[in-house]
Amino acid sequence: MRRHTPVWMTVAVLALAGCTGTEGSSGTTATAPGMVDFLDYGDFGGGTAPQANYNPYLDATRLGATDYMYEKLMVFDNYSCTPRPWLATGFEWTDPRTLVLKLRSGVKWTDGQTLTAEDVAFSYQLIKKHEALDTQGLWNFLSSVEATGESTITMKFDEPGASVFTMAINVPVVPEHTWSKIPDPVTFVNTDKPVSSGPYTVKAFNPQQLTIERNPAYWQADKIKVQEIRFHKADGGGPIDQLKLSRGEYDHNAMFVPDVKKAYVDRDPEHNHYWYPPGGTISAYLNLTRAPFDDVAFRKALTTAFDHQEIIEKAQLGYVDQASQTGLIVPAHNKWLPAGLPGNGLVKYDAAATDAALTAAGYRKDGTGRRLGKDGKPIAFTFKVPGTYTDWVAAAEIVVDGLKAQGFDVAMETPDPQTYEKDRAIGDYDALFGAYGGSCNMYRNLADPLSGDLSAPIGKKARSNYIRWHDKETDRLLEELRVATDEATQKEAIAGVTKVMMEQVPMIPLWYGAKWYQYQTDKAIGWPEEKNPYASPGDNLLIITNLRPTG
Amino acid sequence: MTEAAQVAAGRPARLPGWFVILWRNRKCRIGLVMLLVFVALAVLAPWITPYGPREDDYPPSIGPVAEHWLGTTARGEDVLSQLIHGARTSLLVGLAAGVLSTVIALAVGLTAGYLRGLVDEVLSFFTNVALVVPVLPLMVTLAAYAPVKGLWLIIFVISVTGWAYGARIKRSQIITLRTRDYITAAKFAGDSTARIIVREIMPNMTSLIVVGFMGACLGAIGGEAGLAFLGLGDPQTTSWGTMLNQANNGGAMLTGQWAWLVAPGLAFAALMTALTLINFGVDALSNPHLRED
Amino acid sequence: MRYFLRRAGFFAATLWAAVTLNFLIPRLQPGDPAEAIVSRLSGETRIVDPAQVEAIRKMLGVPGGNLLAQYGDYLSAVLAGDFGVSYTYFPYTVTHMIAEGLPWTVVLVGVTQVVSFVAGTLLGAWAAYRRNSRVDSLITLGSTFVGTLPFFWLALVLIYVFGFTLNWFPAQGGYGGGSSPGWTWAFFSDAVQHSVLPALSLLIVGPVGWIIGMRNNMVQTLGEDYARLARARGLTRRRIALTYGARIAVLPNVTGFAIALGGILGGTVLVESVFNYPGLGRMMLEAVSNRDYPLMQALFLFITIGVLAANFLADVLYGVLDPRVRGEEAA
Repeated sequence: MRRHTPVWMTVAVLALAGCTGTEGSSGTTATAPGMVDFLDYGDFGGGTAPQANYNPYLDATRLGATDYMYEKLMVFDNYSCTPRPWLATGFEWTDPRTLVLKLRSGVKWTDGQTLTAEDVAFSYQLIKKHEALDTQGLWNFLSSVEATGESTITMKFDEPGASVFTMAINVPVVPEHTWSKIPDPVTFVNTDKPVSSGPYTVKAFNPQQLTIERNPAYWQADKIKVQEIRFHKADGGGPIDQLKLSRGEYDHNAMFVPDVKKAYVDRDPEHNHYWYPPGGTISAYLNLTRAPFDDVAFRKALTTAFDHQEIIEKAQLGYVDQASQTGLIVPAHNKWLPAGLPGNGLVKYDAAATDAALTAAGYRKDGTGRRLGKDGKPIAFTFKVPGTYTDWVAAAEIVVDGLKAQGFDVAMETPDPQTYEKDRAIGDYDALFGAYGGSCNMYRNLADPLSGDLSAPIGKKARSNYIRWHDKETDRLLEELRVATDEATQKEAIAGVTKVMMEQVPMIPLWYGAKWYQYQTDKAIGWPEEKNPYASPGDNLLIITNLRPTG
Repeated sequence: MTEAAQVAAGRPARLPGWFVILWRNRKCRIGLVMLLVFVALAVLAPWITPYGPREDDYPPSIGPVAEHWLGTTARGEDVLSQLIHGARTSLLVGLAAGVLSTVIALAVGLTAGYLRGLVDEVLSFFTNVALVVPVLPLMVTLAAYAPVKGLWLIIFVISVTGWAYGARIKRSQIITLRTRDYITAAKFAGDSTARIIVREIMPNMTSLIVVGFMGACLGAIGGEAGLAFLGLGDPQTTSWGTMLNQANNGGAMLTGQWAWLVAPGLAFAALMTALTLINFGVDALSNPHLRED
Repeated sequence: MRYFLRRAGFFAATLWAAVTLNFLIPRLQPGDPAEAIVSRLSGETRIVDPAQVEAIRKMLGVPGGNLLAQYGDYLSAVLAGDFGVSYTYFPYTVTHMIAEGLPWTVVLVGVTQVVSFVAGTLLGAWAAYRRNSRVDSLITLGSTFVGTLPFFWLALVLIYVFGFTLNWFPAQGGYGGGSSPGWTWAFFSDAVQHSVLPALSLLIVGPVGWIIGMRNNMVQTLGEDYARLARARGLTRRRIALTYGARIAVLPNVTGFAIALGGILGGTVLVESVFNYPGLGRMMLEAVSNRDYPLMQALFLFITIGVLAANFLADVLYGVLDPRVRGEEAA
């Protein structure tokens, strides 16, 4: 057994050397009173081998620190969908096509210069000039952005702009005096002494850990009670990250954890918490160009065919809620629901009702229990789901079981995600899952899956209307919603769309995807939670300005 | 002498010679018995498993209890039932992909190594290309474009990407063998190339071929497990690899469900060990002087 | 000289075929890199924002033009050593990324491969020499069982036992978050600590193939006529084992080892993934799943060159170890 010697010798030597597996041992700084020394956060993006990149416009590859370095005119509380004043202290629609924002005074860049309305206009012009940086496609709607005074910014839109407000205020503001000298902002990584305005600046970076420290000159520095945030790279929410979370190595993380109660909360019930508010809607998409899915009576019958509770309990481990057939997120969007809608549009699972409705609609069962189409042939189709999305596969199995129980001959196919997405976009499917919505932009939430403009003929990639829903009434309502400037008109239009969803059933919403969010309260408190949902898990700036030391 | 050995010794006339030789080797005997157990489990799986492998009507994520000897998965499936059904998948993949890639490797390796010259150049060219093609993306590509997904696709992918190494080894060996005197003698005696390869060279390579086959089997079983572990397998097939993948992603370590994580790994190792042990008996076939008594 | 030219031509042709395949494989895969990036960013809800896809497509400048033109551009870029910009790590170049991952893989996999080969071959030879003895049984049976443990599984168990329960070694990564990569002793010892568990999982499983291969080959060789003839001539058992047995039997192992060395550049995808080790194997898996064509192609090219060089080495070694082959090649 000679060959084992070197290995075990190494082990012994290293063990004697007193090494431990714990990472990020701290160089402790003296605690300032009323401050949290540092907090350990989870992943900071940038792939498995992250490279320094603090360009706030490079959504795909920038590191998480930029969220704390560059700020926007307004910050949305994405839970209640309320805009909060930020770099702008307020806004006003002077006419439906003109948005005027008032800039906060006294905001300084980290190099001491003042953040001006010119900086704001420059930032907007920058993403106009470099389309690759306009990740929201904002300039498809904007016609101009100008500094119309020392602290006034005026945005003009091609059409009434209320429906793109969420995007219009959501552009990071960068300093003109440094960024105007950059030859190509698209390939700029902003690592050499970045000039920023936000609450934190980069302190240290290696591909395993990103450390940001408090910016003492921040315009609301009094609200920042955390000296340092350390982001840790592990396996991106995989088993190692889960183990690290469970043994308390993170003050905050946002990842999927199987059996989070047992694995996390129960280990320290006093301090370990999670809150999983709903994100987008996951829906069964039926290919509306194919029979029998083109028959509204057929689709309507299927709304009661799926065991939501089973999907929630088995496939989603009880972390999610059933989705409303209205297409909205209840209860978060309750204010948009039309009055008098029974049960908020939540449809009960009732296989017998589906059976009766199908039979009534002309889809009989034959002697052997097979469901027949109107042509008298057994109905057979496939249900596609990406093989690597294990929770979706589990949900698909339940959906397929529900369909089989109705006598359909359904085969589940499990392509890889890219093939799946391509098939979905070009309409090469019978039935599958789609996800939509979840933003604070109600127009986008509803238009993405339903607008005729966002569809395409079979064989061509649709932009987002993968089900190929073409309905004049829907398009009219969506157009109304898009240009609406007052809430009453918006309400009316949204109510109209929910009516279409309930009566025409272009798709069948099943559950709301959860936003993962875990936090510990032993060092800091003030995290958003179910009882105090002042922000959504991704609203980093809102959260960091609310955190304070425990005790 | 074990009971099984007595049976073997008592009925020598009805057993083929090679089997007796294998059986006499103690290690090989252990391997054969182990393999037999796996085969029996695989064949009888539907009858001996307490539950269906995909039935998820049980409490999720529980440790070993009387009703579920190895606990349940995060989705509430019985781990033991999955484990037994997994033996089917592994054996099928091992056998099918092992045979397929050995046949390809033999055909290419022997032809190239014996004939040399232009044929060798061409075949070696293909072998080398096959060796240097990155296997993983090729597997992903093949999997993505296949009209039919499932286990046979995995078998096909593993065979098509796995033969080159064996072919190269066999070519190397035959280059050494073909300069031997008895081959030269056979050539002068006017034997055909095919005859020389089959009659003179193959028997001297039995050990290598069987080792190669075993290697291919082991590689295929391991390949399936690895692919499935990475999430590239067929999620509708119950195999030890998909079990490990689900245990890993389903928080088996996190919730302390040791049995769920450990069982597929040990079952995998036991099957691999069985095949390797049988290998030890195989060399006794081609080398009578070194048989165990 | 003619022999050398022929071999060189052969390798060039193989290289060309591999390069061409590398070009074709990503293009046969479905999916658009921009979509892959956005769907990766979309997180749990998996909502793909079409506007973002469009912006990223513009950012990456995904190649257009017909396949032939793309092929021409690709070939000339490769010849110029320009592998482009990685999609996953935009705007960092592929060369930069590979340079970052290469040392980790070469050191981790290289060291464990060499140790595994040497240890495995020696143990295999010893087992064959002491055939049917207690030593033989111990080596073959013991290593068989240990070596057949699936090593990603072994990796998980090592992580759990040593990384979390006992907390002896770091469970993941190539170095700690607190250290700064560089040629310092602190960083070196940090990196060594981080490499212990991945190396261990490779070293437990690694030697088995060589042990079994060497043992079976040598058992076979020792049964050959010339070995028995040598014994009849009165040569010692030890001398026969060393001069005939081991030397001939090691040939297939050497070929295999040379090829295995060539595979180092590809790393061990599974081990690097499980331990989240910053090498090329993990990078390759990421590049494949992200449709990061430029990074993927460059990595494949590196692996191809590695394997070809290794094959060349195997040919040379074969000639050195087995004079009969050398004589034939010269003829």
